[in-house]
Amino acid sequence: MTVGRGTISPVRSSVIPGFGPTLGFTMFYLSLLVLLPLIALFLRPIGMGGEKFVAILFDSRVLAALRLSFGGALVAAGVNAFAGLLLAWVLVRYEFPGRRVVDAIVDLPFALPTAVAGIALTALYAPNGWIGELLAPLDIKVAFTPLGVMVAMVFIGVPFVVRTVQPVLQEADQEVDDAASSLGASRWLIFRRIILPTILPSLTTGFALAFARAVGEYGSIIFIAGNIPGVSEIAPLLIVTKLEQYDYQGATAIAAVMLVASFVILFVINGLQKWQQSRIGRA
Amino acid sequence: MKIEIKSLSKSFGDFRALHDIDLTIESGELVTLLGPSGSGKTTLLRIIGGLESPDSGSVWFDGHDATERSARDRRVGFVFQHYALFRNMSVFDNVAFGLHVRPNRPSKKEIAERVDHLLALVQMRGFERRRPSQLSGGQRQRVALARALAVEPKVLLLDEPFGALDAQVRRELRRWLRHLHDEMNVTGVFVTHDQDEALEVADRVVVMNKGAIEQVGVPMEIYDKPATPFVYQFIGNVNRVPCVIAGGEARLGTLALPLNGVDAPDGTHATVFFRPHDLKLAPAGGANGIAATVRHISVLGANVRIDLAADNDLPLEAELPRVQFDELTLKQGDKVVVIPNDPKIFPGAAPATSTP
Amino acid sequence: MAAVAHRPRVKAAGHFRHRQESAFARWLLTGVALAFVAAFLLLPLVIVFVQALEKGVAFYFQAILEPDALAAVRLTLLVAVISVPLNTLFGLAAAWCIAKFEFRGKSLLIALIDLPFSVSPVISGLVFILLFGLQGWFGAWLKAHDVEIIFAVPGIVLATMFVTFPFVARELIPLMEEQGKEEEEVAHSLGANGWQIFRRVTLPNVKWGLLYGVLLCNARAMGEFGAVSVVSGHIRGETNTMPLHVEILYNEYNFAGAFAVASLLALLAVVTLIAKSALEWRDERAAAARLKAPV
Repeated sequence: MTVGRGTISPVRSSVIPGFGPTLGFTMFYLSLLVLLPLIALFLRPIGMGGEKFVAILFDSRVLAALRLSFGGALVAAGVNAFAGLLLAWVLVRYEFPGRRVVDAIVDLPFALPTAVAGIALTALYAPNGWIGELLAPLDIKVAFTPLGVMVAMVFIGVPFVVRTVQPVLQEADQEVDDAASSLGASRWLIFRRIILPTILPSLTTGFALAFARAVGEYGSIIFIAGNIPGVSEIAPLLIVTKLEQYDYQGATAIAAVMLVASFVILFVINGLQKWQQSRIGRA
Repeated sequence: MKIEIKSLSKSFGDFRALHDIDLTIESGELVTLLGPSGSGKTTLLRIIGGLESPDSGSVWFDGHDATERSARDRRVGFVFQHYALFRNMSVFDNVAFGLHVRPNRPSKKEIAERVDHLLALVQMRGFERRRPSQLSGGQRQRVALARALAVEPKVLLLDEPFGALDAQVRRELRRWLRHLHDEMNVTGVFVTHDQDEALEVADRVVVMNKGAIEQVGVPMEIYDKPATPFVYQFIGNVNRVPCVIAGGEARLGTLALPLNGVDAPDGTHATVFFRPHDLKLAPAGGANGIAATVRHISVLGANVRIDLAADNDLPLEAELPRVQFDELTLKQGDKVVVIPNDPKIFPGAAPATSTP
Repeated sequence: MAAVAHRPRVKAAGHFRHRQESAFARWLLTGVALAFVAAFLLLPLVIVFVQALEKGVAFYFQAILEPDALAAVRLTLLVAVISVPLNTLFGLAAAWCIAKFEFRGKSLLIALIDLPFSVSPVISGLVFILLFGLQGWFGAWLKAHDVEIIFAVPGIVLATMFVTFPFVARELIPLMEEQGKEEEEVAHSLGANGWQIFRRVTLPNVKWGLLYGVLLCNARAMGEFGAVSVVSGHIRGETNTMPLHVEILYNEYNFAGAFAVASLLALLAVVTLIAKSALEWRDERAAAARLKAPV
């Protein structure tokens, strides 16, 4: 069968049919849905000129929002790296009642609509909420502060670290572990010298994924944040606000910066995954 | 169906998988393609079957150019090393698949009869409702064979079909396949890297190396008259001793061996090849031969293997029948001379050993 | 050389049975992990239902049966009915060409498919405003021809499709890659045509992965908030999806109403998670069965 004799053809000939139509449809779909819109987004700032672009970005409110989105995401991803590793460890290594349920609920942030998560977290962490009540006597305010932003960011990032670390931990060579144990190495030494280096690439990947998600997150944050300009206002919300004021240029400038940042993160994640694969291959 | 392959070449990127292959396979023959991994044997098989297309050259079926013909229209049956059974279908549905997808599909009754006949042929009757995951490797491969035969192929292509099975099952299936092939009028091409399998199953063996054919012949020819040093080493055990050509003979210490048609000028270095069982041993001092010391003796049932060391610690191996060994009364450390019976001389230094 | 056959990778189902850390350490680590799960995952889920029923069952049903709420449910279903099948079709096509063929630019294509995962939902909506909004590239033309995309259903569908198109493809690509090409090659040599190969060999082999991808795609399509919020225009009863309706009710301080509608979405999430777990356990059992099969 002469598959793909056209301009695009697979590098290796294959008897399996359908390369042309499926690749064609995929490209068509992606071009219409992704490429065209993204080109539109990037051509805007070019149209407005550099000075205007810089002026928008260096507005103090915009800077504060970007700082909160990126800084908060960094902290949240850090929390997730620790908590996610702990959770993956407990899920893989220990048997306890409800393990299956906990394993299933880890994916909740993927499945629960962000708006629902947003109002639920607000109800929980408001000063009169179930958890807010416990924190109030300690003088810790979560809802309607930057801390609330980070709580929502932690929520949204939980599955990323757990789901990238879990399979690696599961496959971590038990024999290496046992051998080290029999050589008299302490638990902490084994963890630090053998297990941690093995899972480090996936842990970093999970961290980066959680970070990328938290930077752009909107729905679960806006309810708990309080949205005080310059204090607890995140960059995506500022885009929405500018859109509502028909300030398309302002919205686009912020979006372009955030998008470039996510491209960089994506690039880094890609590199990390290659690193991870080479690590696994070496073992 | 007669298969002719004419000046076939195929590369994958920089890797030259096949280089200018010419081969004719007669109708009804069972031919094995034998070679180490990377020798191009599987690629050749896939091109014959139409799963790959060649960069240049052609494949002819019964005198018709089939190079551009799709695998669907070639009437070939495939059997893969890892069975490639349709994992979501029962044994029955696997075998019936080729009949089901025909444009003029046979009736349900005809299909059932045909499948039943094939399952009987491969001794898998009674397993119709099983899933591939519920079968052993040998059973899976028999189902795969029945599935391939269901469409009454003119050519049966087997890619290391027994490679994933353990030794006992392999030997059984090998004989059974040979028997099955004799009963059916089908041309068979069988890829393997196992020399025993190739020699036992095939009418003719095609030895391949680095994308080229080294030798084509009936199994006995391949074993007894290897055409190249590669074939000599790849098939069976062999002793290799360096020598020098002088006066139309191969000189090996005091031993002078006839060249038997090897054309090489005086003074060139060459290598003497001979099989461990194709030699005589004699106590040192008597006959003229290669001086060696007995290193180790192992009894292998009816035969005895003697590990020897010639000058410069060159390892040699001898395999003698028990009777002959008993007459020699050898023990470790004894000095002997090795007299090759039917040595073959190839010009050039011995190539590095490649294990099959 | 020819493609190396992929053998099914069997994931070890066994656990490391408390052999290492001391009982105290195990207890402590598990306790901290469970406390984290409770504070960040379990309690948020529970509180949705508690708050939804705070004013009683009667109020709950009144809130979800009110006309605007029903309109939101209808719109959400409509958006899912359009975007999920299209994205499923895309996922199948993309997985087929990526998993079964080698071609230049493949990794770029995969990166492009992953893109929506790392783009802010707000930006996903914004790009469509820049294309189809009044000031957008096609805005004037659309206005002249009386076509409404932004602040109307087509815009909501587009934004939802953008956010959810990777889900099916991401599930199928690794699955199809792992299964290799031999079964398809055999089917082809046995005389099957492209459609027969796909329907009878490939599709049955990936059906559970496909189902899971569709489930996730659907959950996200029904629940998408940020992207839809930007393009919807929030017209009550017309361009409000369920998540947007939740926001409106919440901002009107109708908390019980907001949580009532939210509880429907939370229920969808719970069903999705249960289905996902069921599919995973099915896989594990299948893997265990494979391990037990005679060799």
